[in-house]
Amino acid sequence: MRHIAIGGMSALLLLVGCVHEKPAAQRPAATPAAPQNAGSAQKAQTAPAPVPAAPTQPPPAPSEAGASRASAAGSAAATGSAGATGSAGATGSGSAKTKVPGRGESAAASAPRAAPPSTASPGTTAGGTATRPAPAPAPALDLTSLEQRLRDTRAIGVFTKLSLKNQVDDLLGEFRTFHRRQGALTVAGLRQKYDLLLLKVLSLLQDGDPPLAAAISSSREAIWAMLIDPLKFEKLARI
Amino acid sequence: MSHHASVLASAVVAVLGVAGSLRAEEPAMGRDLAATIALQGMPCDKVVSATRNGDSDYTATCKDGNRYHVFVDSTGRVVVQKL
Repeated sequence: MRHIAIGGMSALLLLVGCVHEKPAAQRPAATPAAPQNAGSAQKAQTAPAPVPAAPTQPPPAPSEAGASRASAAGSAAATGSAGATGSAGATGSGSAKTKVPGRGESAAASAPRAAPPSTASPGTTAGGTATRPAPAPAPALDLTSLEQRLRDTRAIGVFTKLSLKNQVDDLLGEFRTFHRRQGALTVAGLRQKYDLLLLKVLSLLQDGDPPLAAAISSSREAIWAMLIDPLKFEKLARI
Repeated sequence: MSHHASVLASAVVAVLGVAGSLRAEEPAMGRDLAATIALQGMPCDKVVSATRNGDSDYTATCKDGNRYHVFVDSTGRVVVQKL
């Protein structure tokens, strides 16, 4: 009877032990949350699978974390340097420039902003309007030099020069009459005669003496302004 | 003998040079007369021959057959008369 009781007790203990063993073995396989227990060899074998998965995920995490840390910790300095490198090296200067003013580097942003307009406006004003008025007086209309060049040029023969001089004198006489308010001459008529005479001179010079033709052509308006202005014309007539 | 030959050759060259310069001036004179005639508003595309009558006095024949008397009058004006 005692042997039966002892045998039954041991069998019961074994059964209880087996019952405890089975659930414990199934838990780690079912839920990976048990790796911290590290009780058996199976847990150790199954654990490495999640472990490499975990390290693979962390590497991207550190980069993102680093970026986030960089952007979060020193946002101004980090973005400033990034913007500088980006604008210098890459083509994303526009985004960097748009970010920089928004970040608060107002001084640095306003300086570059102020610089381009300042450089652009002086360039246009100095190159466009400031330097162009300078050439306007530059013609200087050296009538004496032009006259001497006309006398010396070999592109026009003696008869032609004399004939041109006659026609110039005739036109000057008409201007004189116009300024004295005599006759029925008009500014338009004088301009037409002036243009015609200048056209004759240019047609005679354009093949034989192109530089002189260009000089006379460029002085066309200056000469006209001198002829049509009574005061200037008086000075010209005195010469 | 050779000395005479060299002198003769140089003389020929000089004559030819003068003749060449004269021929070179003729087209220039023809162009000058043609331009002068054209400046006076008369038709003449090209002067084919010109006869010198005196100082600043020429008779020009144009390619189209027109003949002109071109001269400078006493007042210093260039005058072109159709002949």
